[in-house]
Amino acid sequence: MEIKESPSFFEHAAMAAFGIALITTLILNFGMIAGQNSIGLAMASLCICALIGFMPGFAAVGLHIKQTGAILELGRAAMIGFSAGFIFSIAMSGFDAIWVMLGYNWPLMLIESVENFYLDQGESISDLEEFREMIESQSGSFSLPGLILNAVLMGILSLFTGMAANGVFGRNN
Amino acid sequence: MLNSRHSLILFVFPSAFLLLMASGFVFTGSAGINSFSHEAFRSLCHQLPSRTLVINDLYTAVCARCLGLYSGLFLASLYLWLRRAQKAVSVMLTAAFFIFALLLNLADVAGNFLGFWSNTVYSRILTGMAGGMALIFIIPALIYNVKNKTRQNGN
Repeated sequence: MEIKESPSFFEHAAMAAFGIALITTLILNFGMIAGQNSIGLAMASLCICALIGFMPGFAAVGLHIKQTGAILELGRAAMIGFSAGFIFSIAMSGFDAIWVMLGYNWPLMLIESVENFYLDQGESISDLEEFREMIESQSGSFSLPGLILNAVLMGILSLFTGMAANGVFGRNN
Repeated sequence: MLNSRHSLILFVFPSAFLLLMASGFVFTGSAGINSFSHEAFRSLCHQLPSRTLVINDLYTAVCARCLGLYSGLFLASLYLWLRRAQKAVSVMLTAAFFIFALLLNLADVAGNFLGFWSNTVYSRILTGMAGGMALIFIIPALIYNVKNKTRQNGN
């Protein structure tokens, strides 16, 4: 009986995950830096990143199908999506740590820009203080189980977008 | 491809796990498991206490909107599993529902932020749930489309 070997997907998952993590971290941090005096810019970069954050699985499956020309089984697309989401989460944690070392903490920058917006309007929001306290208490803390579990959760979310990509790119193939 | 319950398990188990984690295991009343699940969702949700459900004196691991989203993922997956996704659904219809759910969430957030209205816990849960369901429903529609196209090309 002939055993048909499927092409490896790990390389494509890693490429897509790192690429999207790099794009996300750049948009997020530069958006927050530029959006210090413009709430619109800060919020727009946050919304764009929230959407891009769902994309690792989608991009990885798309890349794999384009490169190999294969029509994937649903389970394989899910596996590629999961791997991409897992790698994306780890990469984002790494990039965030680098930004914090450079003195840029995007959640704090976002709070400042929202605070500036409300101050201009003569209002204040209690939620922001609560959020600031939470971010400040969390910054600098690191937990390996938390990081791994977070990556698993991101992997599961990407698993769904990976399966969706199987439909989109498989159709084009 | 999607006719067997085995393949639909791919939807049900992961979404059930996500919902269980997102609930923060508040039903167990255990603060230890609750804080662990909070840690897991730290980078996925703002987890603001004022926007999070409290059950048994414990906060859920995610905000109301995210809890709605994970509930939507699970409910839609369960529906597909029970129905075995036998009926092919139009891609256009599910894509329209997906875009509608996305815009609904965007409008709810933006309207609240700009002071047009104050959203409630229920509005956040419901809009989030619509988003989660839309994401699941679009997948079988896309896959059936591929299947039909492959069959057509084969003939």
